[in-house]
Amino acid sequence: MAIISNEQPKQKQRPRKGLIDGRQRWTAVILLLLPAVIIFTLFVVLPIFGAGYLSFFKYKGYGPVVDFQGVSNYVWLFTKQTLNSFFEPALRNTALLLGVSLFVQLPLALVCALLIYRESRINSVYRLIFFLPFVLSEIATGLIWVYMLDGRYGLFAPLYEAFLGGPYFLMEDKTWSFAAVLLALVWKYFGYHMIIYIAGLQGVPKELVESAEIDGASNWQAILHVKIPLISYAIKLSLFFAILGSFQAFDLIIGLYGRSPPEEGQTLATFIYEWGLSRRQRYGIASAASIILFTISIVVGFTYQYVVMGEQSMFRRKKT
Amino acid sequence: MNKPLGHILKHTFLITLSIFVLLPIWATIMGGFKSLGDLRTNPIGFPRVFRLDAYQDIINSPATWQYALNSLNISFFTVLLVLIFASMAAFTFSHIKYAGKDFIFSYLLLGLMFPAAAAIVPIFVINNTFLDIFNTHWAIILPQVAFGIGGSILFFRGFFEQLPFELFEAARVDGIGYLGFYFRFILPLSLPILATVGVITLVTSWNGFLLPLIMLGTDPSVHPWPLGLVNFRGEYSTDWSRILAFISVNLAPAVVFFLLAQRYIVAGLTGGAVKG
Repeated sequence: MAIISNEQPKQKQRPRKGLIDGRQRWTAVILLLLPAVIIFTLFVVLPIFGAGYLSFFKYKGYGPVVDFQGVSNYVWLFTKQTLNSFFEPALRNTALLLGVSLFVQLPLALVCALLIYRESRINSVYRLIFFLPFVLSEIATGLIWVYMLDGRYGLFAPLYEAFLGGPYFLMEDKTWSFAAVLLALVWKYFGYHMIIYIAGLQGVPKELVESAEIDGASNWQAILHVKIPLISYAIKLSLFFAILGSFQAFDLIIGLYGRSPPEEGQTLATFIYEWGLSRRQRYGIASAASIILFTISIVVGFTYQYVVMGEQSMFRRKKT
Repeated sequence: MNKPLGHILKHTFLITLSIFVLLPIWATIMGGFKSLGDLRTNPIGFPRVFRLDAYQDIINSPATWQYALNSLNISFFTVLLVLIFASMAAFTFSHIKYAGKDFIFSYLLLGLMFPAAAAIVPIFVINNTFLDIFNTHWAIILPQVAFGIGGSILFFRGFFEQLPFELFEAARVDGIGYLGFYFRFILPLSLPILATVGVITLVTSWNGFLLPLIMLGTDPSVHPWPLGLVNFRGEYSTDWSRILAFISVNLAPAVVFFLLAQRYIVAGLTGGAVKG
């Protein structure tokens, strides 16, 4: 290690061509890349094409795929009856997850980060506490909240007794049960976003904040005009994960509702599971829904990367 | 705002939030020691009588350890393969010049955006009919590796690019090829990033539920822990003290691991947050 650090480590040179002959280089590239490319193609890319193919067929999960249906699976998803009873709740819940994620969870995370980003013993205790739920599985999180909200044994039971005059079972309430998912979501993930912001805030040079204060900036002004703009990258990054995450919510739903969520608790992901692999075994329908989920994720993801992240997009090579 | 008042408000807010976060975990762990009657009348406090039978039953049950063992097996191979495959690919991106590099890099990165849920139906068909690995742990490991590779490559590439380039030049002068350089220099120098990526992959794999749910049949002897939790809940639907004890036993390793590895978890989550 000592040898390395002596000579200007920052300076980088591109490998000189011809130092090692081309054939050896290609052998190395192929050997090193192949496992990643094969497994990625087989289990990520191919399945998406597979879903696209299956979405035009009626398929029960066994035997050859022969019953071509054209776009009827897609049409079926958007017929009035399906829309009302299945697909619409799934879309609505996805929108709810997104809304709460963006307008409750992220602001809460940002407030916490601003309050406790400085290094001190008490702040690291707070950080540890807020971040703790992140390591629990969504299933365990869901079960913990089912217990908390239980009308007879849960921590909320005395509250129900006091305000509603008797036991109340939120998870069986058709109108409000999804609130439990939103609550558990914020509980589990606000600390994760907070950690991302804290990392950003700790990278903000102290002198900048201090000089703003010397110039007479109030706390608020320092936050709004110095700190938040300087952590814009961290904010954009956490937004990206929050958006894509809310399109894919699955485990938490099952944790709270059990193996077959009711209509009012469906998301796009549980919809795919239920129609394809769980009770109904209609692979074509599930595949059409998969393609819709895929399209939404990809369109939103790419748009976000190129429009919002721009030069900071992960797809751009950083010029060194 | 005057200082002491601001201080009081700040800590009131932070303490309230801490209670919001910790209370459910506290109530769950304590609930495992309570009788149903105790749960009903005393949900928050210490148990009136510490009853150990729910915890004892669960710890003495072979099913519990089978779940743990299955989770370990799945996570171990997922982590191992992600580390090997992703670091190998990342090395070609950071150190070798070849045509189509940017394209392959972007291709593998797409995995960060692809929703796993959209792929489950065909993955099920592939595993079931073409690979014949349904109901085995490989049916979970392989897709998990595939979905984990993209993000990990991003981390590895970033780290490898920081390694001094002179080292690479020197090795080549000594006649060491690319593969030799990867195994003898890159890997040993990359322990911090291997730990970071490994820890994040481990947490994701350990907690994963969707793939086990789909790829494993109803036989609980191959189920990992998250599936076990759902099974258990189905079995003891309202015997809450037993369910809470089971959840607590499940939380224990996660919390211990969190306390031990939080440095790496934080590094893994925030690796990209500071750059801009």
